[in-house]
Amino acid sequence: MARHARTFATIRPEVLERLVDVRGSIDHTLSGVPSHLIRQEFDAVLDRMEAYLSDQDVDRYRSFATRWVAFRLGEGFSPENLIHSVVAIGDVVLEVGRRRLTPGPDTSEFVREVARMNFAAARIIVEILAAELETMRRSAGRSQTS
Amino acid sequence: MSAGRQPAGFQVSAGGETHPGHVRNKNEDCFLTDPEIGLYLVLDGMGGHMAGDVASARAREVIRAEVRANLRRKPPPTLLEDAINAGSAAVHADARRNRDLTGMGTTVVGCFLTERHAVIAHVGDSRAYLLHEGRLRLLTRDHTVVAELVARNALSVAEAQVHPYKSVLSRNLGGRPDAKVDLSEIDLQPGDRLLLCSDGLSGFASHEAMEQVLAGAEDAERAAADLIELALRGGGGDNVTALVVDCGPEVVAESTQELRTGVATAWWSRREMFRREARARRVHESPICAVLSPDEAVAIVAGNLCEAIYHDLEQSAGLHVWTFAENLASGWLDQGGDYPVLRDLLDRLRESALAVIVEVATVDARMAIALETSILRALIVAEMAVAGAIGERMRRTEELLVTQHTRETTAPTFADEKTIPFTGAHKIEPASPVVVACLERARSTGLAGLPGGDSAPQAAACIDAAHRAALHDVGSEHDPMTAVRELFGSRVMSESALRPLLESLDVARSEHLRAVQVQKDDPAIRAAALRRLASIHQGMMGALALVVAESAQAVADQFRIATVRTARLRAEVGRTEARLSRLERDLAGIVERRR
Repeated sequence: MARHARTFATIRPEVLERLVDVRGSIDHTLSGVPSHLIRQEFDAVLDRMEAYLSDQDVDRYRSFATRWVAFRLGEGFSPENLIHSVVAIGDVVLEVGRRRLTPGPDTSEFVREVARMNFAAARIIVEILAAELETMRRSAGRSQTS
Repeated sequence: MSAGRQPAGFQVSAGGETHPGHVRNKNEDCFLTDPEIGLYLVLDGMGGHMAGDVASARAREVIRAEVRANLRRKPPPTLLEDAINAGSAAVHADARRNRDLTGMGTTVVGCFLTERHAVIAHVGDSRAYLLHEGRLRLLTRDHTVVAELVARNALSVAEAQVHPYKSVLSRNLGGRPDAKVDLSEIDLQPGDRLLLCSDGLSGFASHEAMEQVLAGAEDAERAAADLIELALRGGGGDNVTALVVDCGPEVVAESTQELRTGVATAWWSRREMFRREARARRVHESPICAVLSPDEAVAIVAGNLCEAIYHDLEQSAGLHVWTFAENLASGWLDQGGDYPVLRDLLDRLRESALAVIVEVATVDARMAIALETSILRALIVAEMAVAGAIGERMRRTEELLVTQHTRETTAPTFADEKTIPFTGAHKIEPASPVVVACLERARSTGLAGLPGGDSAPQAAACIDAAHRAALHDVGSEHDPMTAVRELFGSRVMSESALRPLLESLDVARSEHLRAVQVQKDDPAIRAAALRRLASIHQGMMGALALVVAESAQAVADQFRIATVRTARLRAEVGRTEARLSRLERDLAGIVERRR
């Protein structure tokens, strides 16, 4: 797995630049965020991705995703926008990877590994949203009974 | 010659040959080519002992088995080093168990190919060479007593060549459970040629001759045969083994279209297998399939997903899988179903798909990677559809919560205490009874004269509100500000919400004033009523502007505060994440060092 993390590290600067460039299409609310702040935020996401590619630690990835989701929901992201933005970030990694890396078996394996990571992220986001829905439902149920 | 999987991103081919030589009866050398995993070995059983051939063969099999077993679990250098140590341990254990095998051992030189790299490992005096652009380079340093004396400048190269102990090994496999393995990594280029050999070659052929033979041979198999011939001509005083690995042209990716069609076909041809796997994972036992028979459940749930994935793979789209997952999730959640049940079913379907991919991998590793990547993309689309279904229900629940909250907190009346002092034109004297009578009649006339349509009820409410305000003094509960607060109803800022209210106020004002003018009262009385009502209506319009501004101000203030806080939080989160990441890396380093 470490080799995929190493490959990721080689394209990471370009991925970061691309993310900053296309942040408005990832979510329109991000276009108003100053570049230096959004760069810091995306860099943190990429840091986590690199760590996940290296250690495959789903729990650590989940705890990061939980914080990330909480912030985005607080900023008014809809659940659809939220998962869309996560998948879009993963797609940018794939896009840069396909463009920058030489075609061959190792690149194919890297692409698959990133796809696995993207799926894991999407699944985690759905789980967090489902937990949020459950909390809201319980809250609504309590209000009705009281 | 062997050619198989392309672990290095090149078209790899290998050829090996071994010969007992002219002096020895038994060949204790052996070699291994395993192109599927990219492993190549040459081993030289220790000739002075009883069972050198047993040692080399035993070590070869253990090393291969260890590499295969841990192929995806360890980085290549560790993988190869651990495997060689396992080989040494096995030979050592066998020698201790069986007296006939006591003292046996072997050398090894191995090469593990990864993406454009080769990991070279060796113990003893078997060697690895690289032929790059016609030049032959030695990649290993012999583990012999003499070579180590040369390395320490205790012996010259010339002295070493004639030293009586020049073949005495300082390291071998089997002498102790763990061998001290030397490792190195090299980058490979198309056209490079690797040579692994026993000392039966390097000891009986010059470097220059080996270079010439390697550079001139048309393929790996021919090169190995020519090198053996070279050693035999040089005396053939020892068992001799040569294994040549050629890095051919780079593997060229097929076109995207070709690959896509191939992936879709590979998936569709295994649809029955996917259904079988889904049944084996008891998809039909999911509560979501409660009303279906097992056959129906598998056919509908697994069958439809399989078909949706196929169509999306074929068209490079996501619509079919999206529709499938959206229907599944919405249907289940709408009937009050729990998310964990939905998650469980989706996971079983995903595991079924992965089982199909495992089967594909046994036939075509490259296709399996492409298929898994495509299936994962389809499954991500499914997750997005589920997120959409959950999001829709979150919004509905949120609306319910807001309604409940609003009912609890604003139940008595919207007309809360005044926050903006209203000092408008309605500051007037109490009305005289005749003016009040005129106002009463004007109210009735004005209400009757209102045009129909959607705005009529609100315009009527405006006339009523103005009428009540005209009859009372400033500061009463009927002043224009309070009236407008009641009319305003909620603090929705959109144009679509404000426009009807503005139109109603306008219609009400013109109808109300016209109604005064048509009364048959004395002109002075009508004038007094008109002044009073004009003032009130003007005040209501002004009050509306103030109420809107008041609401907008609160929102703007909150927005400004939120923006500042968000910016601070963003910066703080970025710093914290970076700090956390550093700490985790440090921790991983500490754990690694302790290991």
